[in-house]
Amino acid sequence: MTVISARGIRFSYDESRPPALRGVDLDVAAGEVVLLRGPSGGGKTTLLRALGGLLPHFHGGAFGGEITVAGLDGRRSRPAEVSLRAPLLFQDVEAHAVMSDVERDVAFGAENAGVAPGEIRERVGGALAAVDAKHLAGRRIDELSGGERQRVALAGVLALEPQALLLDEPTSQLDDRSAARNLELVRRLAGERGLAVVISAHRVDRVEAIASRVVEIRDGRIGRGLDRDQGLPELARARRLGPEALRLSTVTIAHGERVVAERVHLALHAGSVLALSGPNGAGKSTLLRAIAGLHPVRAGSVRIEGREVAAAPPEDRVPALGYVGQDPGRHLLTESVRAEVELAPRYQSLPRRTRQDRVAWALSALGIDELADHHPLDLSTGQRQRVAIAAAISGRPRLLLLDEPTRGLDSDGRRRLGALLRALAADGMAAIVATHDSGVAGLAADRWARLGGGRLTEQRGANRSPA
Amino acid sequence: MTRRAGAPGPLVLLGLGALVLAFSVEHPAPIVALAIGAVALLLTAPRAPSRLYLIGGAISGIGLIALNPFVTGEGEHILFRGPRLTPFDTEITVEELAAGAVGGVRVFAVAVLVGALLSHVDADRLQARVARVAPRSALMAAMSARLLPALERDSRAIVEVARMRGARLGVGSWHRRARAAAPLALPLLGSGMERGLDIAEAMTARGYGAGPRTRTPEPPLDRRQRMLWIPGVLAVVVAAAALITGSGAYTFYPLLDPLLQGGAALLALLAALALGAAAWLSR
Repeated sequence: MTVISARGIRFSYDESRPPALRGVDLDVAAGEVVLLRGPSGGGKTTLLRALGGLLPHFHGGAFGGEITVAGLDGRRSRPAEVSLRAPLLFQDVEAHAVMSDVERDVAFGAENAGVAPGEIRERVGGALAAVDAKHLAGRRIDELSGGERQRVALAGVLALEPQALLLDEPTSQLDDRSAARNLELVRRLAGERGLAVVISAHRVDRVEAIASRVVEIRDGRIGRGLDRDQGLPELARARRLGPEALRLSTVTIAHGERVVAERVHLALHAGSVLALSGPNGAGKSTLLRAIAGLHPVRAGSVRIEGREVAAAPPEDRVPALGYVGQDPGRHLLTESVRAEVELAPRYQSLPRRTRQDRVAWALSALGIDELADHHPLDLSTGQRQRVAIAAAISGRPRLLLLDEPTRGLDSDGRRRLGALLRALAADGMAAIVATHDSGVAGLAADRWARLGGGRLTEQRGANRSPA
Repeated sequence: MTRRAGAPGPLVLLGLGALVLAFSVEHPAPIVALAIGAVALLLTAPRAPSRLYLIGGAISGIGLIALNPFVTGEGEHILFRGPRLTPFDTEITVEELAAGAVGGVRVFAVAVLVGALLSHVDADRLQARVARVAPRSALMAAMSARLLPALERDSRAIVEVARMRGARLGVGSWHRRARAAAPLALPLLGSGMERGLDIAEAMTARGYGAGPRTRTPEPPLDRRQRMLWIPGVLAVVVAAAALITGSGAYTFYPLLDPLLQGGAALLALLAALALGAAAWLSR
């Protein structure tokens, strides 16, 4: 039985921009799991929004074609009605949360569906247990890590007991174990309850195992199904290390009352890339922020190029240090991609010619030359991520800290990022990359470390998956 | 686990009473008492209190204090008489300074009070209450309850990003820093608009507005939360008394009234008691 049917879907956000969807046809049957793949900005998120009944209601624009979702006409039904039968899990999980604490947020959809109050509690408990997040009950949403939020958001859509699931990058911030568990849960629900599932993902390697079908979407059109991800190429690993770029000595860091790293020692030399892994909520982001001097250190010292990082104000840490935090696409500062990437060289008062060269190099390295004159807010999550990374490397930092840099990146973006980090390391840069993406880590890193239970444990040996 | 935010009923009552009092009295004593009480309430918020309200309130208040003598032409005790600069009045009097100071403290008290209430109130419960009586307005309530903290986080993140790229926002003279910070207003505005749309879209995408909704019963309020009704009711009673009796009246021009007035002192004492008790119960 067909649960989702889309015929000739066309959509433009506005007349000045090229159409985001150009005549998409897609049928998804009950029990089927369809994996949507394709480049960033290709139309995956827009198609999911259309299937979820949100287009054109929330974004204006010109819409054409017919959509039927779980028996509802997607164009004539109210978006909220469609959402109860086919909820959309947003790529940006921060935007997904509506309530302040975990249980209330998971209950929100079920309350909107008019589920009896007594049953809601059961559904909330069941959904949290299903996504391995029962321990998060009672926590505030804004205290959760990105991966924990992603689990809570999935619990929220599962608590609806819908007929279809629309999942936009549902594992982009999950560690490998949690991702495998949640995807297995989705596969099981599809099989047992006859859910129709559409998943958009760049980490095809994670999702294809549960997908009944892989559909490629590029430039707003459905292409042919692809069998397997091409994977990331292996690059030469030999490199020469330079002077010490970073030293952590008996560093203890806490997030509120919780100690996330205790008596940590680490030395990193120019030319080395360290991949930092660990389960969701282990404190990887907090550790990176502490290294950048943006989070207080409870004990010990963080020295970059021999100087205590917190001794200088953040603006004086440049260009010794570059930092790209989680969700950087929300905090772009200028009106165009070119201006954004030029900011760091401009603040360094570099000559105009050098600035232009830096911008051209950074845009090309991230594969976003064509976006140079776009407004950052017009870009997809993955494209914004690339812009933020380009804006950091254009300052030519000697130590680069990247927090989950592959979120929203397609395989081309991940490949480019891996190759770029290798090239920059060969040029003498040191980097720490906090990531669950073992592919990019394997491509770029020569050292691996895992943070968990307050301990930072180095994993010796080349090309070891940090998962 | 962090402390839960406060029940909206008593806090809304407290805020209503305190705001009515702030705008209905002129005497300095109750206004200063409100300002002190508001700061105490802000400092006991369950989450780290936002400096945004303190700084914003202080800047607005100081601005009013500085501006008032130049836009008012009253008072008997002349301190300074400057050149004629139309439309400004450069004759500065003690009475103008006093009126400006009271106005400035009032603005500061109101800004901090609003910040304190937003930091204390349980936004989810507030949204549920609003949804019960005005379902369509719940969307607006949810947006406003979440937008301010989100904007605050975004503004911190935007400043951080700019500084980590080398923008000199934390060094140099204040006017150089202000000039460096000015361009950041635009991305903050863009981020705010995007956040607003995100919240509205997320609520709809999660079925809000599909039809009649149910609600999971909330755990009952604890003793302290229930006791918050006392300062809430007290604040309303004080505001009503000020309106009915006019005991918070004060005249700045042409000469300042005497400061020692029994009615105003009592209002100040009761206002401080209401806000102080609320702060103590919420700590």
